[in-house]
Amino acid sequence: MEEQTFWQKMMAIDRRIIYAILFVFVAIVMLNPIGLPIEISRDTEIYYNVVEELAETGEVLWLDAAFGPGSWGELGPMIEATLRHAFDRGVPVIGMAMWEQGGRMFATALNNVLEDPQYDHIEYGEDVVNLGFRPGGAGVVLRSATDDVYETFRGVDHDGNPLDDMPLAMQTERLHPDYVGHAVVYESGSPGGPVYVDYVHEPTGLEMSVGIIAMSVPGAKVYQDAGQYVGILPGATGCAQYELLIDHPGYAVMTQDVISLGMVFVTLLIILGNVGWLMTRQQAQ
Amino acid sequence: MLVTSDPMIWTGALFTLAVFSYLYAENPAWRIAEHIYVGMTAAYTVAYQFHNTIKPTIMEDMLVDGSWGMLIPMIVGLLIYTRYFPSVSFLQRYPLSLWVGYGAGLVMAYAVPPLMTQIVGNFRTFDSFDNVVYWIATVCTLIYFFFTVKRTNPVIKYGAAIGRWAMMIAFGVSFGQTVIYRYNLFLSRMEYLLTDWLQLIEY
Repeated sequence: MEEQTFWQKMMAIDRRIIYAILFVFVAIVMLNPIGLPIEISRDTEIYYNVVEELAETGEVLWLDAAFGPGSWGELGPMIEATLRHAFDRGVPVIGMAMWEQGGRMFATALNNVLEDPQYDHIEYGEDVVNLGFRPGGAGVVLRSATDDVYETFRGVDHDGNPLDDMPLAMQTERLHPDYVGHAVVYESGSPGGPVYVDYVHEPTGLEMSVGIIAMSVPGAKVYQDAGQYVGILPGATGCAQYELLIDHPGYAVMTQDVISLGMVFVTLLIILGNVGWLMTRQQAQ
Repeated sequence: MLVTSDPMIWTGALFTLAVFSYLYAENPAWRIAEHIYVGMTAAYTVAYQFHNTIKPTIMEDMLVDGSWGMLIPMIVGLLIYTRYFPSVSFLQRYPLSLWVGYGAGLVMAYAVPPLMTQIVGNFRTFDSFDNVVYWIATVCTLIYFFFTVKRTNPVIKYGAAIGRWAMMIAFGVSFGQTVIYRYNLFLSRMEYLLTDWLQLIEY
């Protein structure tokens, strides 16, 4: 039997070995962070300034959790960081969800933030409200913009508590520039930011931004170039930069070392795979 | 204690490991996790929709507020199930027609203006290198799709070649971002195992 060359062995390597190496590699880097520098991007600065501007005007920040548990790793920390920033700067926040499990995602992020004694002064109903999910997707957003938030959400919040007892919800009659300063959609798919572009931003002129998973960034740029999105918080990397800007490094910052080094590892594997393919093809010829 | 005593976190951690075990080979632990996940998701969705849509519509809108008109969309919606009865299965077309018509109307009314804004956004002044690259990439990509013009014309030939490169770079960026996203999903679970379960990390 003909002995395999190095490249043939590499091309036939069991993928489980690569998984095992990646698993160990990630664990080691997570347990021993190196602290690679994190540079703040222009996109993150713009997003940060959105909340800063709302702090000056005192207007409401509307957040929509359009994602499920699968995307929590990238989008959950974004909501937490945004809530911290808003609470620090006295910006009232209303949350809702176009996705069925999004209401739970927003509630989890809110609970995580409110566990911090620093935010003991935050009053649910006055400083923040979680409207949760209502079936209807785009219809819910459209009705909130054109009709009445109270009626759209049947007069109750995510946990079924009456909105009548929540001054912030009662003041915010519509998802409209008259009542809301800015909307941010945290999206991992459809329905997501484009729904707000179609049914809120274009008809009413309400400014909006998105916090998105890394793979959606190229698509979102089209909306930003057209002026439909003000800011884009791109994936865990953008969230890490934002956490640094608000001076509260958290989960996203912790993962930056392992993301950067992991990408180097994956890139090396891709190069190795391509070189191996070329070498074995040459040998075959 | 190093490892958490919270049974919920233990459950989450064991299910995470069960799902990861699929990377080695399909096995009973993976299949149990998969089936429980699918079952729970279906149960959650049904229960959530019942309590948030069906129940309040009947108990509040109809019985309390007297909005009996709600019966009409309910009946029309139920017609979708006539597909199981061949003699009246044609009735399923009515809710579908209404739904498609509603969707088409909504899109026609609201989706066109944002699209026009994006088209207008493509017209840029040549005041930066980025804008010049953007313009060339956009025009050349459009040229690539001129299938009715022969590629013998040098403008079309080389324009299409540049357009092809522009698309390949764009697809490469999308692929790279997708890898990062999938990798982040993995990191999220690793963080759960190391932080919440084993409590080896604090941040």
